[in-house]
Amino acid sequence: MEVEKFYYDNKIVRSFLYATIFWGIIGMSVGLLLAFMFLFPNLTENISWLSFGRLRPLHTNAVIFAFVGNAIFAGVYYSLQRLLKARMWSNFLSKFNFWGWQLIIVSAAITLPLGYTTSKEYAELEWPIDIAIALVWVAFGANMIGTILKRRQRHLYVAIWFYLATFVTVAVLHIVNSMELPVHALKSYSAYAGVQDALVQWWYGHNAVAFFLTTPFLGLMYYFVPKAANRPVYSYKLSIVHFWSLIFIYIWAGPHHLLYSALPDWAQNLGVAFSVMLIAPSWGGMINGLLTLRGAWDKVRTSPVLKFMVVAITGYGMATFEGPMLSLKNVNAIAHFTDWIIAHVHVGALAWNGFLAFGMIYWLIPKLVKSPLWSKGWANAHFWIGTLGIILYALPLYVAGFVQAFMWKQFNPDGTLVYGNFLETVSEIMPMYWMRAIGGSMYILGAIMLLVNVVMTIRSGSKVTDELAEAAPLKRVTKRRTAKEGYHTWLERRPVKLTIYATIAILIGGMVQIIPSLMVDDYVPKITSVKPYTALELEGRDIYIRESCNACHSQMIRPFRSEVERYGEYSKSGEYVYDHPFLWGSKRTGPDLFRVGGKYSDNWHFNHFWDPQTTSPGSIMPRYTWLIKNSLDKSLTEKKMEVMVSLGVPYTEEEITAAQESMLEQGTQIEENLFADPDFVKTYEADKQATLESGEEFVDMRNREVVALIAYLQRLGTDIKVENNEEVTLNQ
Amino acid sequence: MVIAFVLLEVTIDGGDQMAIEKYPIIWGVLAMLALFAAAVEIVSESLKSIMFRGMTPEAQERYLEKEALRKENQFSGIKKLMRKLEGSKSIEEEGEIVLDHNYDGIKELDNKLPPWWLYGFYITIIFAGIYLARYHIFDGVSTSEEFEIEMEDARLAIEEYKKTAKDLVDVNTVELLTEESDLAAGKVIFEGKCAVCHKNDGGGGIGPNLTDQHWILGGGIKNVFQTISEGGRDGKGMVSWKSELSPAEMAQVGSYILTMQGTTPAEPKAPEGEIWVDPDAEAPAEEVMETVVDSIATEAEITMTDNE
Repeated sequence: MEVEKFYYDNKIVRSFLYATIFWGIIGMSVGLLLAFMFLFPNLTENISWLSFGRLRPLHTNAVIFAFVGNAIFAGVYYSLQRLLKARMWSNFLSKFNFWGWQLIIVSAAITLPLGYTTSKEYAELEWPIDIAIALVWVAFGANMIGTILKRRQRHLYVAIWFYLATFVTVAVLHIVNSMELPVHALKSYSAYAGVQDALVQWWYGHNAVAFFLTTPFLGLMYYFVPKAANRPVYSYKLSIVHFWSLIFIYIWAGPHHLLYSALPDWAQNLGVAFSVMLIAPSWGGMINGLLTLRGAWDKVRTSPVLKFMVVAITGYGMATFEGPMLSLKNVNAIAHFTDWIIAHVHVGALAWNGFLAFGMIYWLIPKLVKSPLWSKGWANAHFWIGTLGIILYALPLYVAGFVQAFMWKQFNPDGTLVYGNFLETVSEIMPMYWMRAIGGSMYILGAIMLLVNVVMTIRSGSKVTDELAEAAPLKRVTKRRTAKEGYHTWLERRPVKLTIYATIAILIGGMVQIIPSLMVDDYVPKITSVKPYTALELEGRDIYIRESCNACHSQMIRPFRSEVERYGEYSKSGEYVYDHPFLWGSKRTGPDLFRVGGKYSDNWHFNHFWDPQTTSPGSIMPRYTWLIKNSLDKSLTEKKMEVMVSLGVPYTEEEITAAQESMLEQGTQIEENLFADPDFVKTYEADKQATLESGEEFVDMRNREVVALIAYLQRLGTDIKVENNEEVTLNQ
Repeated sequence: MVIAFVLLEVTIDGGDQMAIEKYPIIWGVLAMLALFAAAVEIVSESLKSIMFRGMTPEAQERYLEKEALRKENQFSGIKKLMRKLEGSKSIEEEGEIVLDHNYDGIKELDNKLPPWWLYGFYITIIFAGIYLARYHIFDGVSTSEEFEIEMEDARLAIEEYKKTAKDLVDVNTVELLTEESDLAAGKVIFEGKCAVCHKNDGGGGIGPNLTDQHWILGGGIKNVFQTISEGGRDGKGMVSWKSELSPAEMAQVGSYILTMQGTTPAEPKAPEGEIWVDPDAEAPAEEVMETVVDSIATEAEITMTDNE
């Protein structure tokens, strides 16, 4: 048989590895900065692009798509070539994949701090970047499939099944969730509204976790763990069963992010049921990973690579057991909106993704530069400090989440809330936030040790070169050879069929849940009193989105006594029909805002934006002084309303033509209200005087951003009037 | 020990409490039993060792062999069950189940699905089926019904509490407090929560001046109490404090506010609202009642009725 010689592309692997380390440290550092903002809210005072709301999506995107994303590419490009005995199909696509992805990350790192965001979690990037992501992702997929087609290994190994499922599903998720209508180059509105938008978003959000943070990493685990331990994979059958059950069931579980929300009950219950069924498929991966190490535990003691992998797989097992538990409605009622969820996702991110990536890096770098690791001691130290960091990060936040949820729900016997002031529940958990920041610092310190170790190894090693390999090309299989072939073995040498079946498996769940929300007319019961936002409120809402207020404030009052007592009547699905995008939020660092309309005076909001600590002593909300100084850009208001009309919001022709007039009118009214405070009058007049004297143009308060935001806040939740029955009966 | 505990629990009727909570003496009984069990163990062990020393070397050897065998067979049932649940071939037998797969040197074993895992999977599937059936075929409680039940339970509990609780004040029963301690408590609350908008001396800022005779929503302890409790005018006035302050605290701070009448603050805000005359003389309780109900229904009317 003729043996062919070819070269594995190692340089592309090296590029992705360096990018992984670089963006990892950046993404984690932004996270650490955010952790410190809980302790020192005005750490980046007056710098709008370093405010909490704008950096939070940068942190999540950097860690998920830059750190984990580059790690996926590095691992896939390394393992795929070797598992298929073929060089990557196209050098151009490999390079396009690499540079395209880095460019996307850089543009995210620029646009997010500037406030260009869609507000949808882990999908915050605006539409041009969304298109770029789709292109680069398809390039990656094409390159992978091209390589598969010219492979020299007949059957596809389990790792590749996971890579294929990842490629297909992420593409579907990204495209469906990013349906949006542009207003201008960096502003768009989601095509879906309210409940539908929430459903699509969390179908995406949940499965971004599944198919970006889980399945590709399972693929990496299936390659790097047996390689590093030099042990056979524990059970081939288990691989098959857990692969298909995992990708089929995972897709259904999205609605568990929306339990007790305004989403219809049946969709919520489907989310719960499928989440519970997800335990075994997830654990199948953990078992296969851990049991592969059977007989290699003596190596685990000495090898930092295996140590990292063991903790990673264990972390995966913990997070995937906790996930289904959090999906049970009674547990979710406590944990949702609290730091418990932050702890949960960080067990997944820091242990599973972080440690598996670190293990992979420590294994790959010496291979690439053909030189042993600079210091095993440092790697071991990294392992211990990182593990301790994870524990110190997660445990306090579990406590914080539990304590805060408990305080939210406490009642006095006379029916009033024990902790009626939300701030009391925040002050209580400040020590936990301190510990979290310390744990996070330790984890980053570990990552920096990795950087040093890698740099030193590279310096002592040789240049990374493409690796020579040889293998025989595939011949046609004869009937005789495949006579006794099992069904799945047959499928494993049919990459196209395997991909199609995987696509079908992942489409079913999403279709069952999403299509009814788009097709069924009474999916969301209509409430006639719910009207579109006024022009000024719409502008205010865009500022709310720009500042990512939804990172800390929810707009979803769940049907619990404790929430109705604290925030007002629980949210109805019909109240969100004009919300493109929805702004329900997923975390309550501050209180819910859904019925904040009319609760405070305009002056209160004004002072609160200027300095939250003056109206709410002890608040950990930062100052938003630029909102008060900036003049409101009204140049696109009509365009925005027209886009809304194309999305089905019933603005009339007249309303759109009269937009400027109506904004001025509503703004003037708020300005008048602000004059109720003599202190405001004094400072405002003084400011006016100073500006005019210096010869600059003075912007009236009615034309500033804060006024639009106040208009929006005062509108929130006021479309339905709720009779306060309890009070009426009490007084009769 | 466990048997003793269960037996005691079953035989002694502790009512709805655990027997062990009701009769602490049982702890003593259990401790005695534990001591006794330990004593028996020690005695039998020392007996064994004495007998062992008395044996011939051959006998000793035979004895040790037997002991080792016994140890191996100890818990054999559980061990067998564990092996069964794992369902895996031992590492030594691995050679039999290595598949002829070779992916870049990675081999795969043909271990069967771990039975504990498989049965666990079945159980979750059954759970999911029952879960969905309960809500969508049988009449499981929907989230909105769950909410109604929770609210109704709370309403009954509060009613029950109010029947027996003392010192409850509401807008109908609240009276001006003059005790020094009450006013001092009111001052603390005022400076903590109200001064943000009304200033420490009540001169007014975001909120109106509290030292003059003008009131937007009516003066007098009943109206002030009502305003603190329910909040001011929608979107303009202040928030409702009833979820943060107890009725007694609202009475204290309300009374403290009224002591500010006639004082001169540093920077008094211009008067807002109308001069309030105590209507108690001509139209007692009824009048106040009416304003209270009105103030909940609409805000515009409040000012009018209040200032009649």
